[in-house]
Amino acid sequence: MKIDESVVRKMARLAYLELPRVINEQGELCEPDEHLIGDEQLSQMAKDLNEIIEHVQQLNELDLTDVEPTSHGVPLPSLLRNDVVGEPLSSEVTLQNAPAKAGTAFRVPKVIE
Amino acid sequence: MSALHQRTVEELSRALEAKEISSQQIVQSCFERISETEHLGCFLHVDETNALRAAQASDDRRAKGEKLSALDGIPVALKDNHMTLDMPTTAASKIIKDLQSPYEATVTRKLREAGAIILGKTNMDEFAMGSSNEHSAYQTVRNPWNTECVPGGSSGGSAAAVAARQVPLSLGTDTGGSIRQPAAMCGVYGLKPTYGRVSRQGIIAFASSLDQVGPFARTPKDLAALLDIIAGYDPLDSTSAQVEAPRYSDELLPKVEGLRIGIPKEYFGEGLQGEVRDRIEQAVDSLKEAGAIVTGVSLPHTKYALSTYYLIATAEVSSNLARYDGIRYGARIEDRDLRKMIARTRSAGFGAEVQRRIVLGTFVLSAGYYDAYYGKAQKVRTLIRKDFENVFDSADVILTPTSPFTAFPLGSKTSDPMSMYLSDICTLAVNLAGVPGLSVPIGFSDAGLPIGAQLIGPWFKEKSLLQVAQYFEENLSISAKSPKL
Repeated sequence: MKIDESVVRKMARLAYLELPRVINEQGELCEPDEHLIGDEQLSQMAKDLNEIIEHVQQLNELDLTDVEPTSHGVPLPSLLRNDVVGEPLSSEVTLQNAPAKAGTAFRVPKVIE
Repeated sequence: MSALHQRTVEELSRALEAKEISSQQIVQSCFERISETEHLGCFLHVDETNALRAAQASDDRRAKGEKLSALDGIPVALKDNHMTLDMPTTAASKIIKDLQSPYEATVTRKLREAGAIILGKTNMDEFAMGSSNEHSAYQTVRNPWNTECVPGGSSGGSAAAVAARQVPLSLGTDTGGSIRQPAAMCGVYGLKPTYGRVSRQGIIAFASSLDQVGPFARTPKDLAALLDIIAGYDPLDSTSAQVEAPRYSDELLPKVEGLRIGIPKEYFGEGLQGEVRDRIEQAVDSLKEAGAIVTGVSLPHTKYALSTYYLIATAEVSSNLARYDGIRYGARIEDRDLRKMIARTRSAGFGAEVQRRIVLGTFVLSAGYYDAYYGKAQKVRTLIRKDFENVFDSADVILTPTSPFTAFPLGSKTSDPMSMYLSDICTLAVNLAGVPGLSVPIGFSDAGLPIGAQLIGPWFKEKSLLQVAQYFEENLSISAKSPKL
C-alpha cells in the first residue's frame, strides 16, 4: 500500500485536519492562509507515513491464524460502578475554558439552517 | 551537610523528623535551584505562592507532632499532562494553552492528601508524543549532563528536573518508554508500573491501552516512597486494577541472591551503542557475583514491537485527540462554518508530530485497512505478551538496556521520525504486554552521559524490580554523582 498525497488529504479530512499547520512568528495560532495549503507539507507527510507503513509490513511475515487479539496488556474485567450521585461541576466552572459562550451555553457557529 | 535541594527524600524526611529543617526551607531551596538552572527548560509552570503556603501548613502539622504521610512537606513536580486546579494543564500543546482544569487528577489529589508539595508542572513532548522533548510547543529541555543534548522524552522535564536537583521527586507518564528512556538519559531512576497499577483519571490521554503514570527519583527508596502514595485502585478509572498494592518502601533490601535474572538476546543486537553494551555486561557480572542466577532467555517477537506499537498507539491517538475541537475548551480559530472552525483549530493547534500520528492512526483504522493494520497489530500484541509469560516461568526479572544509545544532540533526529522512534526500541514491548519496567542508572559513557539498564518484572511485581535497583544503588552509587551546572 502506497500512501500518496491524495490519501493523506483524505485522512486529514476524516480527522478534521486542514494541512498545513499555521503559526505566526510569535508562535501564536493564526488563520491558515488558503494559498499555503499544499504541496510541500502534504508530500513530506506522505513520505513520512510511507516510511512507517513500509516498516510495519514486516508483520505480514507472521502466521496469525488462530491468534486472538489483545486490547489491553492486563485483562480488564467489565466494570460497572455503583450509580451514586456525586457533586456535579457548576456551569460557571464548566464554561471557564470556553473559547466562546452565551449565557450558560457554549457558543458555536450555526449548524441548522 | 549539602544544600536542601540536593538531598534525597530519605535525608530530607529524617531532617524534618528531627526538626532540623522545615518544609518551607526545602521548598525555597528547590525554587532557588529551579531559577538558577532555568536554562534547562524543565518547567512550564511553577507556583511558588501555593507551594510555600502548602509547606507552611505541613510545618504547622509537624509542629503539632502530626504528619499525613512519609512525603509530608516533600516537594514533587508533575508532568504537564496531570490535571491541577491551581496551575494550567497544557500537555505542552498550543491547542490547550492556558487550560485551567475544573478538577484534579486522582494522583494529584493523592499527593495533596499525603502532604506533598507540588512545585510546578514539567515540560514534555506535545501530548507525550516524542522521545526527545523537542516536540514541546513551548520550549526545549536540555540534558543536565550535557546541555547540547536532549533529556529524552516524552517526560523529559520530569527526568531532567530530578537529575538537576531542582526537585527530589516527579511524576511522568509512559506509553512506549516515556518515563524509562528519559530516566536513562538523565541518570535517574524511573518506573513504569504495571498497566492499571496507578489511576489515570485526570491524566490527559495519549494511547489508553498503553498509558501509565509513574515516578522519577534519585534513589530506589525515594521511588518506592512515591509509588506508595500513588498506587492503588481508583473507582474513577475503570482500567485501574483491583489488586492490592503492597508497601513498596517496606524492607526494600538489596536482595539478589538466588534471584533468576533473564537476559534476552533480542535486546543486544544491531544498533546498540558499544558503551551501553559494556556497562550492561558489567552490571550483569556484578549481579552474578552477588549470587544472582543469570540465564539467557528469548523474547522472539521483540522485533515486531515497534510496528505493533506504532499501529496501536496511533490508532488510539486518532480517537483520543478527536476531543480537541475548539468548542468547550482550548484555542479556537473562528469560522462561520462549524466543520471549518474545528479543522482550522486543530490544524493550527496541533504540532507536526501530533498531526502525523493522527493521520496515520486515522489511516490504520479506516475502512479497508483495519484488518491489515490495526487488527493485525492487536494479534501480534498477543504474541508479544505471551513471550513475557513464557520467560517469567523461568526468570524473576528480565534485564535489558533502557535505550540503545546515550542522549543524542538536540536537533539530530527531529527531521527523521523513524530514527527518533528507534530510541524507544527497548521499552515499547513492555507497554504492549502491560508489565512493569524500571530504568536504573548504571554508569556513564566516556563522554560523561548516563547509561541505564531496564529491569522488567511480571505483572504487579514492582517490588522485585525495586529490590534489584536497591542492589545497584548500594553497589554502583551512581546517584552520588551530580551533573555540573
